[in-house]
Amino acid sequence: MRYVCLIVGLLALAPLQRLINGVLGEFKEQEAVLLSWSGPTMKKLVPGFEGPVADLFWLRTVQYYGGQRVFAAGKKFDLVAPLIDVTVALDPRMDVAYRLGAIFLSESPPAGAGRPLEGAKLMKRGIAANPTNWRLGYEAGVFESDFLGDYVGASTTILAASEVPGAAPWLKSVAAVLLQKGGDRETSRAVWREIYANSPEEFMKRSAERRLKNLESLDRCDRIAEALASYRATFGRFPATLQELRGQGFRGPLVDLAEVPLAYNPQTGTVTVDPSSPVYQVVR
Amino acid sequence: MGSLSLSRIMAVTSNTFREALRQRILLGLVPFAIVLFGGGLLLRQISVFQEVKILKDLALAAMDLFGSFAAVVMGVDLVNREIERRSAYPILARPLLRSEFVVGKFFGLVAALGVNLVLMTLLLAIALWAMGSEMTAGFLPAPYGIFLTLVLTIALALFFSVITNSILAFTFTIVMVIAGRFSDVVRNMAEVLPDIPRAVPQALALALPNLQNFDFKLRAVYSDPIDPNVLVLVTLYAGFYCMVVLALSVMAFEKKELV
Repeated sequence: MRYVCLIVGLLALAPLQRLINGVLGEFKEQEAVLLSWSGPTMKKLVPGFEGPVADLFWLRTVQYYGGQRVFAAGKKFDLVAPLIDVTVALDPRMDVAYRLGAIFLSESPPAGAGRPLEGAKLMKRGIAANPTNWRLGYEAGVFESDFLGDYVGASTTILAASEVPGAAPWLKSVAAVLLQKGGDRETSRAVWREIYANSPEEFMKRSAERRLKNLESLDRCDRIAEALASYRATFGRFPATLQELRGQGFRGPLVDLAEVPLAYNPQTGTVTVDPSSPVYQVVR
Repeated sequence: MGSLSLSRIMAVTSNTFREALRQRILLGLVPFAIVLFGGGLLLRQISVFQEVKILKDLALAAMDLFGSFAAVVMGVDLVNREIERRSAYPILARPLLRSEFVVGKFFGLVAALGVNLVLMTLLLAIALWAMGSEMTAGFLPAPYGIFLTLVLTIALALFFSVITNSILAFTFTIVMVIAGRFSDVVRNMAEVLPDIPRAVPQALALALPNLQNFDFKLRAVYSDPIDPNVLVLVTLYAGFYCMVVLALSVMAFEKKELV
Protein backbone atom coordinates (compact mmCIF):
# COMPACT_ATOMS: atom_id res chain seq x y z
CA MET A 1 0.00 0.00 0.00
CA ARG A 2 2.77 2.42 0.97
CA TYR A 3 4.41 1.88 -2.46
CA VAL A 4 1.13 2.63 -4.22
CA CYS A 5 0.79 5.85 -2.22
CA LEU A 6 4.39 6.76 -3.00
CA ILE A 7 4.11 6.18 -6.74
CA VAL A 8 0.65 7.78 -7.11
CA GLY A 9 1.80 10.77 -5.08
CA LEU A 10 4.96 11.25 -7.11
CA LEU A 11 3.14 10.86 -10.41
CA ALA A 12 0.45 13.34 -9.39
CA LEU A 13 2.82 16.14 -8.37
CA ALA A 14 4.07 17.26 -11.80
CA PRO A 15 0.65 17.50 -13.52
CA LEU A 16 -0.77 19.15 -10.42
CA GLN A 17 1.93 21.82 -10.54
CA ARG A 18 1.17 22.40 -14.23
CA LEU A 19 -2.50 22.86 -13.30
CA ILE A 20 -1.58 25.33 -10.56
CA ASN A 21 0.66 27.24 -12.99
CA GLY A 22 -2.23 27.31 -15.45
CA VAL A 23 -4.47 28.94 -12.86
CA LEU A 24 -2.00 31.22 -11.10
CA GLY A 25 0.43 31.89 -13.94
CA GLU A 26 4.05 30.75 -14.28
CA PHE A 27 5.55 33.87 -12.77
CA LYS A 28 3.18 34.42 -9.88
CA GLU A 29 5.81 33.88 -7.22
CA GLN A 30 8.30 36.21 -8.84
CA GLU A 31 5.73 38.99 -9.19
CA ALA A 32 4.60 38.54 -5.60
CA VAL A 33 8.17 38.86 -4.37
CA LEU A 34 8.71 41.99 -6.41
CA LEU A 35 5.45 43.58 -5.33
CA SER A 36 6.07 43.12 -1.65
CA TRP A 37 9.84 43.57 -1.30
CA SER A 38 11.90 46.42 -2.58
CA GLY A 39 15.68 46.23 -2.82
CA PRO A 40 16.41 47.97 0.51
CA THR A 41 13.80 45.83 2.31
CA MET A 42 15.36 42.66 0.95
CA LYS A 43 18.77 43.88 2.10
CA LYS A 44 17.49 44.27 5.65
CA LEU A 45 15.93 40.81 5.63
CA VAL A 46 19.07 38.87 4.77
CA PRO A 47 22.01 40.36 6.70
CA GLY A 48 25.20 38.49 5.86
CA PHE A 49 23.61 36.71 2.93
CA GLU A 50 23.17 39.61 0.49
CA GLY A 51 25.54 37.99 -2.02
CA PRO A 52 23.73 34.69 -2.59
CA VAL A 53 20.28 36.36 -2.53
CA ALA A 54 21.48 38.89 -5.14
CA ASP A 55 22.72 35.91 -7.17
CA LEU A 56 19.29 34.31 -6.89
CA PHE A 57 17.62 37.42 -8.30
CA TRP A 58 20.32 37.65 -10.94
CA LEU A 59 19.72 34.02 -11.97
CA ARG A 60 16.01 34.74 -12.28
CA THR A 61 16.73 37.80 -14.41
CA VAL A 62 19.08 35.95 -16.72
CA GLN A 63 16.83 32.91 -17.01
CA TYR A 64 13.82 35.09 -17.68
CA TYR A 65 15.32 37.64 -20.03
CA GLY A 66 18.48 35.95 -21.27
CA GLY A 67 16.50 34.61 -24.19
CA GLN A 68 18.01 31.17 -23.95
CA ARG A 69 16.38 29.17 -21.19
CA VAL A 70 13.18 28.09 -19.54
CA PHE A 71 11.41 31.43 -19.25
CA ALA A 72 12.42 32.75 -22.67
CA ALA A 73 8.91 32.66 -24.13
CA GLY A 74 6.49 35.50 -23.41
CA LYS A 75 8.91 37.93 -21.79
CA LYS A 76 7.37 40.62 -19.64
CA PHE A 77 9.87 43.42 -19.66
CA ASP A 78 8.07 45.39 -16.99
CA LEU A 79 9.73 43.09 -14.45
CA VAL A 80 13.29 43.83 -15.63
CA ALA A 81 13.69 47.07 -13.70
CA PRO A 82 12.48 45.76 -10.29
CA LEU A 83 14.48 42.52 -10.64
CA ILE A 84 17.65 44.44 -11.39
CA ASP A 85 16.82 46.95 -8.65
CA VAL A 86 16.68 44.21 -6.01
CA THR A 87 19.85 42.59 -7.39
CA VAL A 88 21.96 45.75 -7.27
CA ALA A 89 20.49 46.91 -3.95
CA LEU A 90 21.76 43.64 -2.44
CA ASP A 91 25.07 43.66 -4.30
CA PRO A 92 25.89 47.13 -5.68
CA ARG A 93 29.23 45.85 -6.99
CA MET A 94 27.68 43.42 -9.49
CA ASP A 95 28.51 45.49 -12.59
CA VAL A 96 27.20 42.84 -14.96
CA ALA A 97 23.69 43.44 -13.57
CA TYR A 98 23.79 47.13 -14.55
CA ARG A 99 25.21 46.37 -17.99
CA LEU A 100 22.93 43.53 -18.94
CA GLY A 101 19.96 45.25 -17.26
CA ALA A 102 20.61 48.40 -19.30
CA ILE A 103 20.66 46.35 -22.50
CA PHE A 104 17.39 44.58 -21.62
CA LEU A 105 15.81 47.93 -20.89
CA SER A 106 17.23 49.86 -23.84
CA GLU A 107 16.93 47.51 -26.80
CA SER A 108 13.82 47.98 -28.89
CA PRO A 109 11.13 45.29 -28.69
CA PRO A 110 11.13 42.35 -29.20
CA ALA A 111 14.75 42.15 -28.00
CA GLY A 112 14.25 44.57 -25.09
CA ALA A 113 11.85 46.81 -23.22
CA GLY A 114 12.44 49.84 -25.48
CA ARG A 115 13.03 52.12 -22.45
CA PRO A 116 16.55 53.50 -23.07
CA LEU A 117 16.08 56.36 -20.59
CA GLU A 118 15.71 53.81 -17.79
CA GLY A 119 18.67 51.88 -19.19
CA ALA A 120 20.88 54.98 -19.11
CA LYS A 121 19.68 55.77 -15.58
CA LEU A 122 20.62 52.28 -14.45
CA MET A 123 24.10 52.68 -15.94
CA LYS A 124 24.52 55.98 -14.04
CA ARG A 125 23.56 54.20 -10.83
CA GLY A 126 26.17 51.57 -11.64
CA ILE A 127 28.84 54.22 -12.12
CA ALA A 128 27.94 55.82 -8.78
CA ALA A 129 28.26 52.45 -7.02
CA ASN A 130 31.44 51.45 -8.89
CA PRO A 131 33.45 54.65 -9.36
CA THR A 132 36.65 52.74 -10.18
CA ASN A 133 35.10 50.70 -13.00
CA TRP A 134 36.02 52.61 -16.19
CA ARG A 135 34.41 50.10 -18.54
CA LEU A 136 31.03 50.74 -16.94
CA GLY A 137 31.48 54.48 -17.58
CA TYR A 138 32.55 53.84 -21.16
CA GLU A 139 29.56 51.62 -21.88
CA ALA A 140 27.22 54.14 -20.19
CA GLY A 141 28.52 56.76 -22.63
CA VAL A 142 27.94 54.45 -25.57
CA PHE A 143 24.39 53.89 -24.35
CA GLU A 144 23.75 57.63 -24.11
CA SER A 145 25.11 58.13 -27.58
CA ASP A 146 23.48 55.25 -29.41
CA PHE A 147 20.22 54.75 -27.56
CA LEU A 148 19.47 58.34 -26.54
CA GLY A 149 21.32 60.32 -29.20
CA ASP A 150 22.84 62.48 -26.45
CA TYR A 151 26.37 62.92 -27.80
CA VAL A 152 27.42 65.71 -25.45
CA GLY A 153 26.29 63.69 -22.41
CA ALA A 154 27.99 60.59 -23.83
CA SER A 155 31.23 62.44 -24.39
CA THR A 156 31.16 63.84 -20.82
CA THR A 157 30.48 60.39 -19.34
CA ILE A 158 33.32 58.76 -21.30
CA LEU A 159 35.68 61.59 -20.44
CA ALA A 160 34.91 61.03 -16.75
CA ALA A 161 35.58 57.30 -17.22
CA SER A 162 38.94 58.13 -18.81
CA GLU A 163 39.99 59.81 -15.54
CA VAL A 164 39.60 56.57 -13.60
CA PRO A 165 43.03 55.11 -12.75
CA GLY A 166 43.85 52.27 -15.13
CA ALA A 167 41.35 53.38 -17.78
CA ALA A 168 42.13 52.54 -21.41
CA PRO A 169 44.12 55.38 -23.01
CA TRP A 170 41.85 55.54 -26.08
CA LEU A 171 38.80 56.65 -24.05
CA LYS A 172 39.71 60.33 -24.40
CA SER A 173 39.82 60.09 -28.21
CA VAL A 174 36.45 58.27 -28.27
CA ALA A 175 34.99 61.10 -26.15
CA ALA A 176 36.42 63.69 -28.52
CA VAL A 177 35.14 61.92 -31.65
CA LEU A 178 31.67 61.57 -30.12
CA LEU A 179 31.62 65.28 -29.34
CA GLN A 180 32.74 66.22 -32.86
CA LYS A 181 30.91 63.68 -34.95
CA GLY A 182 27.99 62.64 -32.76
CA GLY A 183 25.49 60.62 -34.77
CA ASP A 184 28.07 59.69 -37.34
CA ARG A 185 27.51 56.07 -38.34
CA GLU A 186 31.20 55.29 -38.75
CA THR A 187 31.94 56.52 -35.23
CA SER A 188 29.15 54.38 -33.86
CA ARG A 189 30.41 51.39 -35.83
CA ALA A 190 33.94 51.83 -34.51
CA VAL A 191 32.70 52.03 -30.92
CA TRP A 192 30.52 48.91 -31.20
CA ARG A 193 33.33 47.02 -32.96
CA GLU A 194 35.56 47.80 -30.00
CA ILE A 195 32.90 46.54 -27.59
CA TYR A 196 32.43 43.41 -29.70
CA ALA A 197 36.15 42.71 -29.75
CA ASN A 198 36.94 43.46 -26.10
CA SER A 199 33.88 42.62 -24.01
CA PRO A 200 34.40 39.42 -22.07
CA GLU A 201 30.68 38.70 -21.77
CA GLU A 202 28.71 37.00 -24.49
CA PHE A 203 25.61 39.22 -23.94
CA MET A 204 27.61 42.36 -24.66
CA LYS A 205 29.02 40.80 -27.81
CA ARG A 206 25.49 39.84 -28.89
CA SER A 207 24.27 43.37 -28.31
CA ALA A 208 27.22 44.82 -30.21
CA GLU A 209 26.66 42.36 -33.05
CA ARG A 210 23.03 43.42 -33.22
CA ARG A 211 23.99 47.09 -33.32
CA LEU A 212 26.56 46.44 -36.06
CA LYS A 213 23.95 44.58 -38.09
CA ASN A 214 21.57 47.49 -37.58
CA LEU A 215 24.21 49.94 -38.86
CA GLU A 216 24.98 47.72 -41.86
CA SER A 217 21.24 47.49 -42.58
CA LEU A 218 21.01 51.29 -42.47
CA ASP A 219 23.84 51.39 -45.05
CA ARG A 220 21.74 49.14 -47.26
CA CYS A 221 18.80 51.52 -46.82
CA ASP A 222 21.05 54.40 -47.95
CA ARG A 223 22.07 52.55 -51.12
CA ILE A 224 18.43 51.77 -51.91
CA ALA A 225 17.49 55.42 -51.26
CA GLU A 226 20.03 56.46 -53.91
CA ALA A 227 18.53 53.96 -56.37
CA LEU A 228 15.04 55.28 -55.52
CA ALA A 229 16.13 58.87 -56.17
CA SER A 230 17.52 57.82 -59.54
CA TYR A 231 14.28 55.91 -60.34
CA ARG A 232 12.22 58.97 -59.47
CA ALA A 233 14.40 61.19 -61.66
CA THR A 234 13.71 58.83 -64.58
CA PHE A 235 10.01 58.06 -64.06
CA GLY A 236 8.81 61.02 -62.01
CA ARG A 237 7.52 58.75 -59.27
CA PHE A 238 8.71 56.19 -56.74
CA PRO A 239 8.31 52.49 -57.64
CA ALA A 240 5.30 50.66 -56.19
CA THR A 241 7.60 47.99 -54.70
CA LEU A 242 11.34 47.75 -54.15
CA GLN A 243 11.43 44.78 -56.56
CA GLU A 244 10.86 47.24 -59.42
CA LEU A 245 14.39 48.57 -58.79
CA ARG A 246 15.74 45.24 -60.13
CA GLY A 247 14.42 46.21 -63.58
CA GLN A 248 16.60 49.33 -63.39
CA GLY A 249 19.72 47.34 -62.67
CA PHE A 250 19.84 47.64 -58.85
CA ARG A 251 21.60 44.50 -57.61
CA GLY A 252 21.95 45.29 -53.92
CA PRO A 253 20.07 43.39 -51.16
CA LEU A 254 16.48 44.43 -50.34
CA VAL A 255 16.55 42.78 -46.92
CA ASP A 256 18.30 43.74 -43.71
CA LEU A 257 21.09 41.76 -42.07
CA ALA A 258 18.49 39.53 -40.38
CA GLU A 259 17.09 38.71 -43.85
CA VAL A 260 13.86 40.59 -43.04
CA PRO A 261 12.60 42.65 -46.05
CA LEU A 262 13.23 46.36 -45.57
CA ALA A 263 10.13 48.50 -44.92
CA TYR A 264 9.26 50.73 -47.88
CA ASN A 265 6.77 53.57 -48.26
CA PRO A 266 6.04 54.12 -51.98
CA GLN A 267 4.38 57.51 -51.26
CA THR A 268 7.38 59.09 -49.58
CA GLY A 269 10.09 56.82 -51.00
CA THR A 270 11.55 56.13 -47.57
CA VAL A 271 13.25 52.83 -46.76
CA THR A 272 13.85 51.73 -43.18
CA VAL A 273 14.60 48.63 -41.16
CA ASP A 274 11.28 46.92 -40.44
CA PRO A 275 10.26 47.40 -36.78
CA SER A 276 9.56 43.65 -36.53
CA SER A 277 13.14 42.82 -37.47
CA PRO A 278 15.55 41.57 -34.79
CA VAL A 279 18.05 44.22 -35.92
CA TYR A 280 15.63 47.15 -35.65
CA GLN A 281 16.68 49.86 -33.20
CA VAL A 282 15.12 53.19 -32.32
CA VAL A 283 17.39 56.06 -31.37
CA ARG A 284 15.62 58.59 -29.19
CA MET B 1 44.89 21.33 41.68
CA GLY B 2 43.92 24.90 42.56
CA SER B 3 45.02 26.73 39.41
CA LEU B 4 44.16 26.11 35.77
CA SER B 5 46.35 23.55 34.06
CA LEU B 6 46.96 23.88 30.34
CA SER B 7 47.74 20.18 29.97
CA ARG B 8 44.43 19.17 31.57
CA ILE B 9 42.56 21.64 29.34
CA MET B 10 44.40 20.21 26.32
CA ALA B 11 43.40 16.70 27.34
CA VAL B 12 39.70 17.67 27.42
CA THR B 13 40.13 19.63 24.17
CA SER B 14 41.64 16.73 22.26
CA ASN B 15 39.01 14.39 23.67
CA THR B 16 36.21 16.70 22.57
CA PHE B 17 37.84 17.13 19.17
CA ARG B 18 37.95 13.36 18.64
CA GLU B 19 34.38 13.04 19.89
CA ALA B 20 33.25 15.68 17.36
CA LEU B 21 34.95 13.76 14.56
CA ARG B 22 33.28 10.58 15.79
CA GLN B 23 29.97 12.40 15.48
CA ARG B 24 30.84 12.58 11.77
CA ILE B 25 31.03 16.36 11.65
CA LEU B 26 33.20 16.06 8.54
CA LEU B 27 30.37 14.29 6.73
CA GLY B 28 29.02 17.78 6.09
CA LEU B 29 31.83 18.15 3.57
CA VAL B 30 30.11 15.71 1.22
CA PRO B 31 27.00 17.84 0.52
CA PHE B 32 29.27 20.89 0.48
CA ALA B 33 31.42 19.35 -2.24
CA ILE B 34 28.32 18.33 -4.19
CA VAL B 35 26.97 21.89 -3.95
CA LEU B 36 30.31 23.32 -5.08
CA PHE B 37 31.11 21.07 -8.00
CA GLY B 38 27.48 20.47 -9.05
CA GLY B 39 26.77 24.18 -8.72
CA GLY B 40 29.84 25.02 -10.79
CA LEU B 41 28.75 22.72 -13.59
CA LEU B 42 25.17 23.97 -13.49
CA LEU B 43 26.19 27.64 -13.49
CA ARG B 44 28.32 27.04 -16.58
CA GLN B 45 25.37 25.43 -18.32
CA ILE B 46 22.99 28.31 -17.73
CA SER B 47 25.50 31.01 -18.72
CA VAL B 48 24.89 33.57 -16.00
CA PHE B 49 28.11 35.50 -16.75
CA GLN B 50 28.96 35.49 -13.05
CA GLU B 51 29.79 31.84 -12.43
CA VAL B 52 32.85 32.39 -10.27
CA LYS B 53 31.25 35.13 -8.19
CA ILE B 54 28.11 33.06 -7.62
CA LEU B 55 30.14 29.98 -6.70
CA LYS B 56 32.05 31.99 -4.08
CA ASP B 57 28.79 33.43 -2.69
CA LEU B 58 27.23 29.99 -2.57
CA ALA B 59 30.24 28.42 -0.85
CA LEU B 60 30.51 31.16 1.78
CA ALA B 61 26.79 31.03 2.52
CA ALA B 62 27.02 27.23 2.88
CA MET B 63 30.05 27.53 5.19
CA ASP B 64 28.24 30.10 7.32
CA LEU B 65 24.90 28.28 7.49
CA PHE B 66 26.29 24.78 7.96
CA GLY B 67 28.92 25.97 10.42
CA SER B 68 26.43 27.98 12.49
CA PHE B 69 23.97 25.11 12.57
CA ALA B 70 26.67 22.65 13.63
CA ALA B 71 27.96 25.12 16.23
CA VAL B 72 24.50 25.51 17.77
CA VAL B 73 23.56 21.81 17.72
CA MET B 74 26.93 20.51 18.92
CA GLY B 75 27.56 23.43 21.26
CA VAL B 76 24.26 22.85 23.06
CA ASP B 77 25.18 19.17 23.50
CA LEU B 78 28.72 19.88 24.59
CA VAL B 79 28.12 19.76 28.35
CA ASN B 80 24.49 18.74 28.58
CA ARG B 81 24.99 15.42 26.85
CA GLU B 82 27.82 14.51 29.16
CA ILE B 83 25.64 15.31 32.16
CA GLU B 84 22.53 13.57 30.84
CA ARG B 85 24.56 10.46 29.97
CA ARG B 86 26.39 10.82 33.29
CA SER B 87 29.68 10.46 31.45
CA ALA B 88 30.81 13.77 32.94
CA TYR B 89 30.82 12.37 36.48
CA PRO B 90 33.84 10.07 36.22
CA ILE B 91 35.70 12.80 34.34
CA LEU B 92 34.97 15.41 36.99
CA ALA B 93 35.83 12.90 39.72
CA ARG B 94 39.40 12.99 38.42
CA PRO B 95 41.73 15.81 39.36
CA LEU B 96 40.10 18.21 36.92
CA LEU B 97 38.60 21.61 37.63
CA ARG B 98 35.12 22.28 36.34
CA SER B 99 36.47 25.41 34.65
CA GLU B 100 39.06 23.26 32.84
CA PHE B 101 36.30 20.93 31.72
CA VAL B 102 34.21 23.81 30.28
CA VAL B 103 37.14 25.60 28.62
CA GLY B 104 38.53 22.35 27.21
CA LYS B 105 35.14 21.41 25.79
CA PHE B 106 34.86 24.84 24.18
CA PHE B 107 38.26 24.69 22.49
CA GLY B 108 37.69 21.10 21.36
CA LEU B 109 34.60 22.05 19.40
CA VAL B 110 36.24 25.24 18.12
CA ALA B 111 39.09 23.11 16.78
CA ALA B 112 36.74 20.60 15.15
CA LEU B 113 34.65 23.27 13.42
CA GLY B 114 37.83 25.16 12.51
CA VAL B 115 39.26 22.10 10.76
CA ASN B 116 35.95 21.62 9.00
CA LEU B 117 36.04 25.24 7.80
CA VAL B 118 39.62 24.93 6.57
CA LEU B 119 38.68 21.81 4.58
CA MET B 120 35.67 23.62 3.10
CA THR B 121 37.91 26.51 2.06
CA LEU B 122 40.31 24.07 0.42
CA LEU B 123 37.45 22.41 -1.43
CA LEU B 124 36.33 25.82 -2.67
CA ALA B 125 39.89 26.59 -3.84
CA ILE B 126 39.86 23.32 -5.83
CA ALA B 127 36.43 24.10 -7.30
CA LEU B 128 37.61 27.58 -8.33
CA TRP B 129 40.74 26.10 -9.86
CA ALA B 130 38.57 23.64 -11.82
CA MET B 131 36.63 26.63 -13.18
CA GLY B 132 39.83 28.32 -14.33
CA SER B 133 39.83 30.82 -11.48
CA GLU B 134 41.80 31.02 -8.25
CA MET B 135 41.45 31.91 -4.60
CA THR B 136 43.55 34.92 -3.68
CA ALA B 137 44.71 35.94 -0.22
CA GLY B 138 42.11 38.74 -0.34
CA PHE B 139 39.39 36.11 -0.11
CA LEU B 140 40.56 34.60 3.18
CA PRO B 141 39.07 37.24 5.55
CA ALA B 142 35.63 35.85 4.64
CA PRO B 143 36.17 32.30 5.98
CA TYR B 144 38.08 33.83 8.90
CA GLY B 145 35.07 36.02 9.72
CA ILE B 146 32.84 32.95 9.56
CA PHE B 147 35.23 31.17 11.93
CA LEU B 148 34.94 33.99 14.47
CA THR B 149 31.14 33.82 14.15
CA LEU B 150 31.28 30.10 14.90
CA VAL B 151 33.54 30.65 17.91
CA LEU B 152 31.05 33.10 19.42
CA THR B 153 28.13 30.81 18.60
CA ILE B 154 29.82 27.87 20.34
CA ALA B 155 30.49 30.02 23.41
CA LEU B 156 26.86 31.09 23.59
CA ALA B 157 25.55 27.56 23.04
CA LEU B 158 27.86 26.28 25.77
CA PHE B 159 26.69 28.98 28.18
CA PHE B 160 23.01 28.26 27.62
CA SER B 161 23.60 24.51 27.82
CA VAL B 162 25.14 25.00 31.26
CA ILE B 163 22.34 27.13 32.67
CA THR B 164 19.35 25.32 31.17
CA ASN B 165 18.21 22.17 29.35
CA SER B 166 19.02 21.27 25.74
CA ILE B 167 15.79 22.46 24.15
CA LEU B 168 15.84 25.87 25.83
CA ALA B 169 19.57 26.20 25.20
CA PHE B 170 19.01 25.50 21.50
CA THR B 171 16.20 28.08 21.35
CA PHE B 172 18.13 30.79 23.23
CA THR B 173 21.25 30.29 21.14
CA ILE B 174 19.31 30.50 17.88
CA VAL B 175 17.60 33.71 19.10
CA MET B 176 20.98 35.21 20.08
CA VAL B 177 22.58 34.26 16.76
CA ILE B 178 19.71 35.74 14.74
CA ALA B 179 19.63 38.89 16.90
CA GLY B 180 23.40 39.18 16.49
CA ARG B 181 23.02 39.17 12.73
CA PHE B 182 20.42 41.95 13.00
CA SER B 183 22.39 43.99 15.51
CA ASP B 184 21.93 47.22 13.52
CA VAL B 185 18.17 46.75 13.73
CA VAL B 186 18.43 46.29 17.50
CA ARG B 187 20.62 49.39 17.81
CA ASN B 188 18.15 51.48 15.79
CA MET B 189 15.12 50.15 17.65
CA ALA B 190 14.52 53.55 19.26
CA GLU B 191 13.72 54.97 15.82
CA VAL B 192 10.60 52.83 15.52
CA LEU B 193 9.82 52.59 19.24
CA PRO B 194 10.29 56.18 20.44
CA ASP B 195 8.64 55.47 23.82
CA ILE B 196 11.36 53.19 25.10
CA PRO B 197 14.37 54.83 26.73
CA ARG B 198 17.32 55.19 24.36
CA ALA B 199 19.58 53.34 26.76
CA VAL B 200 17.58 50.11 26.35
CA PRO B 201 18.36 49.40 22.68
CA GLN B 202 21.91 50.63 23.19
CA ALA B 203 22.43 48.25 26.11
CA LEU B 204 20.82 45.43 24.15
CA ALA B 205 23.03 46.09 21.14
CA LEU B 206 26.08 46.00 23.40
CA ALA B 207 25.02 42.83 25.16
CA LEU B 208 24.20 40.91 21.99
CA PRO B 209 27.10 39.58 19.96
CA ASN B 210 27.48 41.83 16.94
CA LEU B 211 27.89 39.15 14.29
CA GLN B 212 27.78 41.75 11.52
CA ASN B 213 31.35 42.62 12.56
CA PHE B 214 32.58 39.36 11.09
CA ASP B 215 30.80 39.53 7.75
CA PHE B 216 33.45 40.08 5.07
CA LYS B 217 31.79 37.83 2.53
CA LEU B 218 30.71 40.33 -0.10
CA ARG B 219 33.96 42.29 0.12
CA ALA B 220 36.07 39.15 -0.11
CA VAL B 221 34.16 37.92 -3.14
CA TYR B 222 35.23 41.09 -4.98
CA SER B 223 38.74 40.86 -3.43
CA ASP B 224 38.30 44.30 -1.86
CA PRO B 225 41.22 45.02 0.44
CA ILE B 226 40.29 44.68 4.11
CA ASP B 227 42.31 46.73 6.57
CA PRO B 228 44.38 44.35 8.76
CA ASN B 229 43.55 46.60 11.72
CA VAL B 230 39.89 45.74 11.24
CA LEU B 231 40.75 42.03 11.36
CA VAL B 232 42.72 42.58 14.56
CA LEU B 233 39.86 44.56 16.11
CA VAL B 234 37.18 41.99 15.28
CA THR B 235 39.44 39.21 16.54
CA LEU B 236 39.86 41.08 19.81
CA TYR B 237 36.10 41.65 19.98
CA ALA B 238 35.44 37.93 19.48
CA GLY B 239 38.13 37.08 22.04
CA PHE B 240 36.80 39.38 24.75
CA TYR B 241 33.18 38.41 24.12
CA CYS B 242 34.09 34.73 24.37
CA MET B 243 36.06 35.40 27.52
CA VAL B 244 33.01 36.98 29.16
CA VAL B 245 30.64 34.23 28.05
CA LEU B 246 33.08 31.47 29.03
CA ALA B 247 33.60 33.09 32.44
CA LEU B 248 29.82 33.13 32.97
CA SER B 249 29.62 29.51 31.81
CA VAL B 250 32.35 28.46 34.21
CA MET B 251 30.69 30.31 37.10
CA ALA B 252 27.34 28.71 36.32
CA PHE B 253 28.88 25.26 35.92
CA GLU B 254 30.78 25.54 39.18
CA LYS B 255 27.54 26.28 40.99
CA LYS B 256 25.62 23.57 39.14
CA GLU B 257 24.60 20.64 41.28
CA LEU B 258 25.38 17.39 39.53
CA VAL B 259 23.08 14.71 40.89
